[in-house]
Amino acid sequence: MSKKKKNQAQSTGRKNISKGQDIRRRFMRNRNSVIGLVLTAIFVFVALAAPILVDYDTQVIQQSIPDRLLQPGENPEHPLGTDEIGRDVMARLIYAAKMSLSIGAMSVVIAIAIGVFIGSVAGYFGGKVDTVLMRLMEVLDGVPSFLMALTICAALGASVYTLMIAIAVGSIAAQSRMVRSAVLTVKNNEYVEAAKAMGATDMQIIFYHIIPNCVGTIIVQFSVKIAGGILSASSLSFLGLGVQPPDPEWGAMLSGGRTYMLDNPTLTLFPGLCIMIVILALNMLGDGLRDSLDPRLKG
Amino acid sequence: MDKHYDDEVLRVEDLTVYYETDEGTAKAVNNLDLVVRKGKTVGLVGETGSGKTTTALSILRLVPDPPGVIKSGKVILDGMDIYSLTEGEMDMVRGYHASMIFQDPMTALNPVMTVGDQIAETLRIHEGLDKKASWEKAEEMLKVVGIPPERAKEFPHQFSGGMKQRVVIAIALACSPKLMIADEPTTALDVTIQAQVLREMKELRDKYEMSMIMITHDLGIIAQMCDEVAVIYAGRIIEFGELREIFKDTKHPYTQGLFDSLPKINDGRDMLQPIPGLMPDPMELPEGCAFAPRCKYATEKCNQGIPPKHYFSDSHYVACWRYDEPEFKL
Repeated sequence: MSKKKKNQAQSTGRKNISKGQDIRRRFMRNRNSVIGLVLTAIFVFVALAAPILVDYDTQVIQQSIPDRLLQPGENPEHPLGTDEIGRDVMARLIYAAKMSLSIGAMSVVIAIAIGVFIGSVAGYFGGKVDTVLMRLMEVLDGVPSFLMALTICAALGASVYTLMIAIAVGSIAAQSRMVRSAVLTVKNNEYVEAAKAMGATDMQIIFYHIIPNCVGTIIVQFSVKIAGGILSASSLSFLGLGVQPPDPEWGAMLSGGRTYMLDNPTLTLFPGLCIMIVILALNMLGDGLRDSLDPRLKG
Repeated sequence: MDKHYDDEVLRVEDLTVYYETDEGTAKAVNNLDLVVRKGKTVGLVGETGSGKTTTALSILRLVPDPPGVIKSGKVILDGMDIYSLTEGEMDMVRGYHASMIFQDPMTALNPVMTVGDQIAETLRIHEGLDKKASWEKAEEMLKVVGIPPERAKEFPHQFSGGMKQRVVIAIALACSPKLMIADEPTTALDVTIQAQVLREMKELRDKYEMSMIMITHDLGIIAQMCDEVAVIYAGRIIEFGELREIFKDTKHPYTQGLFDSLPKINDGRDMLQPIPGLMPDPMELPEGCAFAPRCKYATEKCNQGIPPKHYFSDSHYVACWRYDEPEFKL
């Protein structure tokens, strides 16, 4: 009886340090990662609220030749000025956030979903399966990813969806390799052998034991790769292969403002700044997540 | 080949397991025979690398392949010929007919799953219980091993080593298997916790009438837990017998060496007598008795051929050439 009581006391006493709280505490202690998180949150919020904040028809794509190429501050209606056909830069930047973030996120979701599948199968089964899958990935990786994306966009026709697929294809190989290496470490743990000894099938082991233990690596990859995805989307749009006019996209806006760089430098400055800040924020967030999810750095 | 019994749960015949690597072939287990009867606990005792764990893994067909190759042998578990089953059928045997407790409870639990889920998983696989029923049974199992059931929703890192090992035991017991294989279950625990866990295992074994294979290199644990003892050396059983026979009527020079290298409480002044030398490299086993190079009784004959079994009683045998001489005594 007394022993039972003691056990219970122990259990309630220790409950306040759960794993989640521990991770949160370590994350919050790192200033850079908190800044990254806050900035990312702001951008995500703006992107989600874009349809409410600005009206697509009257603000984002509304042309107005008399108001063209206004400098920031010249007209209080257009705080960040207007572009070469008189569209409000502020509204376009906000709307572009939605485009860029969703392209970045979706392309990474696609790449990671395929990468997790290929990587965990290759890593878990090993042997011939591993060799075949990884050699295939190397073939995919042999083509420069930007060239690959260009080809896919050109072949499938430029649209937001092709852009997502094009960017995703370029990073499948890297994702699979990353997941595979995480799986290789996890599968040698005794609890995988123990699960096998308890009669779990290969699929149950992969889904319940291996992938959940790789989640840390996957989350970190996710936040870092979104940055890459946004950058690729902007590059492709800059070249005219991504988001098509009149839809705004940071890369496309940068490209459009290039002609007026000497007279209206803010046309290129603002989209450039947006790309830079988002990427910096996501990288800071990713670093912070990696540090707090990696138990080896526990302090 | 060992005698047949009506109530045998496990029968291993002529088991030979090699690890084939680029550097050579390690002969881990060689022509091993073993019978475990219902409700009995057999201790496998031997040095590190003597093939204890490989034997256990072979029973559940878990020897890593490659490099492990089962060269010959037959394993009959609960009436089933293990080596003729498909991989899918094997999944149903593992954890249901026989389960295994691993050495290190720190690593044998999945760190990102609650302990309740890990127990429930086994139940869902084998008993076909739904989420709710398996969770309730999992809580019940925790109670059985002396852990408050409300801790089922906690994660392994919130448990101490001894409690983790109890969780591992709860998982192994969940489907009340006929045979439980415990691979050095208490090596990673300190002595006080070790005593607790062993007592717990003993009670549960008796309660569920399980057979058990206890792998250890600790003769104290053998004395406490086992009914029968198999002494393994270089992948062969060199002496087998009931607990009393092994402890009171030691026949093999190696077994004697094991006892001599333990301190004796009554006679504190004696020096310990370690067995000289090391176990032979499993890649280059000697032709005759593997223990001969370290054995003070060895003769010419010991280097020629594998020693035959000499029976001293129905249950007690020893594999040693010297017992060919009727007057030979340790």
